[in-house]
Amino acid sequence: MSDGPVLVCEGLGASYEGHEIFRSLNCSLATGVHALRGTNGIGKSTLLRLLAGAQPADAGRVWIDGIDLMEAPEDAKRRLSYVPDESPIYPFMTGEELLHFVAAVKRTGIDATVDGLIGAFDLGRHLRTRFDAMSLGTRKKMLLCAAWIGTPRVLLLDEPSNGLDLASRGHLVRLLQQWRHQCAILFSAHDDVFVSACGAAVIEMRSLLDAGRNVPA
Amino acid sequence: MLATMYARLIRLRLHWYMRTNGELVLRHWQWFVLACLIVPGPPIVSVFLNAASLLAASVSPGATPAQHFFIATVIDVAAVLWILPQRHALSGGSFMRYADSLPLPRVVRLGVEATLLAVANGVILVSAGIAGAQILSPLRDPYAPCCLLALLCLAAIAQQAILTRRWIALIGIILGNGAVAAGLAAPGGGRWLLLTAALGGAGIGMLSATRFKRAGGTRWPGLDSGAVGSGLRILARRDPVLLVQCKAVAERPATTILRFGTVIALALGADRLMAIFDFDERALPTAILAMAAISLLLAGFYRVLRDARIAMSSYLAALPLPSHYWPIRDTKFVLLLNGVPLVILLSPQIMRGLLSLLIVLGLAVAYQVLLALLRWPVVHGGRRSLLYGVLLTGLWSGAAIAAVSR
Repeated sequence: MSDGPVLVCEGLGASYEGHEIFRSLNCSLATGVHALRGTNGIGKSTLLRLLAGAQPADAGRVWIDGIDLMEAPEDAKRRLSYVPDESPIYPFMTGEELLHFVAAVKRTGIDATVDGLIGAFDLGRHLRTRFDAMSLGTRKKMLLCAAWIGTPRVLLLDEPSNGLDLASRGHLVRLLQQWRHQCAILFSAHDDVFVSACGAAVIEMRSLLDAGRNVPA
Repeated sequence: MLATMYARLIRLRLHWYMRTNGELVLRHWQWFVLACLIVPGPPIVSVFLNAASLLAASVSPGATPAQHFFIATVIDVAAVLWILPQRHALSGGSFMRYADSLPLPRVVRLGVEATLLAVANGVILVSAGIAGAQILSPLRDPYAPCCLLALLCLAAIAQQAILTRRWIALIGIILGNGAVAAGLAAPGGGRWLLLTAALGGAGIGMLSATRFKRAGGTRWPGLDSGAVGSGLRILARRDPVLLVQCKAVAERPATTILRFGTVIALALGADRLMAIFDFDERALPTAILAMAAISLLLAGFYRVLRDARIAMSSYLAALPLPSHYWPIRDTKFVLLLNGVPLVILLSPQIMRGLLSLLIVLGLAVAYQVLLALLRWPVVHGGRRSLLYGVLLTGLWSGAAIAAVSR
C-alpha cells in the first residue's frame, strides 16, 4: 500500500437552504484511523456525506484513492464505503438482501471478512429480519457489515459506535485497528473512550472550518 | 380539559393532514377533471348528483336482499379505495408514535380520529347530504334515511379498520351489511332490530379487533415465510435489484392489486370486445385503445418505485451506480410487468392468424416504447403528470390506429 493520501478534498463547500455550513474546506488523509470531532450541528455528517458522494457539494473536489469523485463517480465509489448515522434502508429489506444488494452493486461477493463480521456481531439470526423490525444497534451492525464488502480503500463512518453493545464495540475497535494499514478510515464520534481505543488521530471539525474561512472567497 | 386536549391534538393533526394530503390533491386533481368529462350531465355538479343517486338507490325499496347487500359492499369498497391514498396523511406521521406514549384519553383519540375521517370524506359527505335530502321527507317512512346513515357508519368503520389494519373488524362489516340488506327487505318492527344489530355487530367487531391487536394478534403471512421465502433468497443472490423492486411494489398491496387487477381486467375486457366484434376491422383499434389505457395505469408503477427509493437515496448515492441505472432498471421492470397484458391482447390475433407477424411485432414494440416514454411525464411531470400522460397516449393511439388501418 502507498503512503500517499487516499482521501483528499479541496475547496469543499456545502449549504442548507441558503445557509452556509462550510466553505473552502480542505483535507488529505493517508491510510489510518481518523476521528472527526466537533459539537452537534457543526457539519460532521454533512462532510462525511459529501466525501461519500451521498450529497452533492456546492463547490470543491474529492479524490478517493486518486480518483475524482465528480469525474468518475462509479470508480471512486467502488473504492469507498459509507455508513450513515441513521438507517436509510428500505423498511421491507432484510439484512441478507442488503448485503447481497451491496455486493452486486460493487460487482463482488460476500467474502470471509464480511462472514466473520456477521458472526462477530452475532447477526446470523437477524439476516432474514426486515429492517423495520430491527433494533437501532442491529441496523448499525448490518450497515457496518455492508461497509466491508468489496475491500474499500476509504471507510466513512458516521457515529459507528452508536447503539452498539459493549462486545460489538470491542469488536469494531479491533476491526478498525486491523484495517488501519489497508485503508483510510474517517469516523465521526463524540465518545473519547472509543476514539482513543481505536488509536485514532483526532481531526477537530472546528479547525477544518477555521482553515476554510481564512481562504479568500 | 378534554376539550383543550382535543383542540390541541386536532390542530396538529389537521396541520399535518393538510400539508401531506395537499400534495396528493395537487397530483390527483386531474382524475377529478377526467371524472367530470366522463360522467354525463353538467360539469362538477353531475359527479356529486350521480353519486348521491347511487347512495339513495342503495336504500330504495324494490330490490332483493342480495342486491342491497351487493350495493352496500360496493359502497364500502368505494369508501375504502377513497381513503387508502390518504392513509399517510391520516396516520399523523411519526409524531403519533410519540403521542401514543402520552396519556391521551380514549375519548379524545376517538374524537380526533372521527373528525379527521369526516374531513377526509368531505367530498363523499356532500353526495351523502344530497342523497339524504332526496330520501328525507316527513311524509315518508324514516327507515330509509336511517338505513343510509347506518350504511355510511359501516363504511366509515370499514375505512378505519383498513387504516388501522384491524382486519377482523371486516367480518363485523360484512355481517352488518347483511343485516341492513335483510332489514330493507323485511316488513314490520323486526327491521329496526336488524338495523340496530348491524351497527352493534360492526361496533363489537371493531372493539374485538382492537383487543385482538393489543393481545399481539397474528400478522398476515409475510413474504419471507416458507417456499416464497426460499424463492426470495434465491432471487436475492441472483438479482437483488429485481427483488428490491418487487418488494417495493409489494409494500403497497392495495394499490398494486387494484392497479394490476384493473390492467388484467382491461386486457380481458378488450379481448371479449374483440370477440364480440368477431375480429373485424374494429378489433385492432380496440386493442390499441386498451393498450393506451393499460400503459397509463402501469406507468403509475414508475412513481411507486421512485417514491420507495427516496428514503434510501442518500445511501444509494454513495454506491457505485451510474446515474441512468435506476431509470433503466425501473423501465425494464415496468416493461416486464407489461408482458402479461401484452400476451392477453395480442395472442388471439396471432392464434387466429388475423395479422401478419410483422404488424404484431411492430405494435408490440411501439406499445413497449410508449410505456418506456411514459416514465418521463410520471416522474418529471409534477402536478400535470396525468395530463401529459393522457396527451402522450392519445397521440400514440391516434398514430397507431392510423398506421394499422392503412
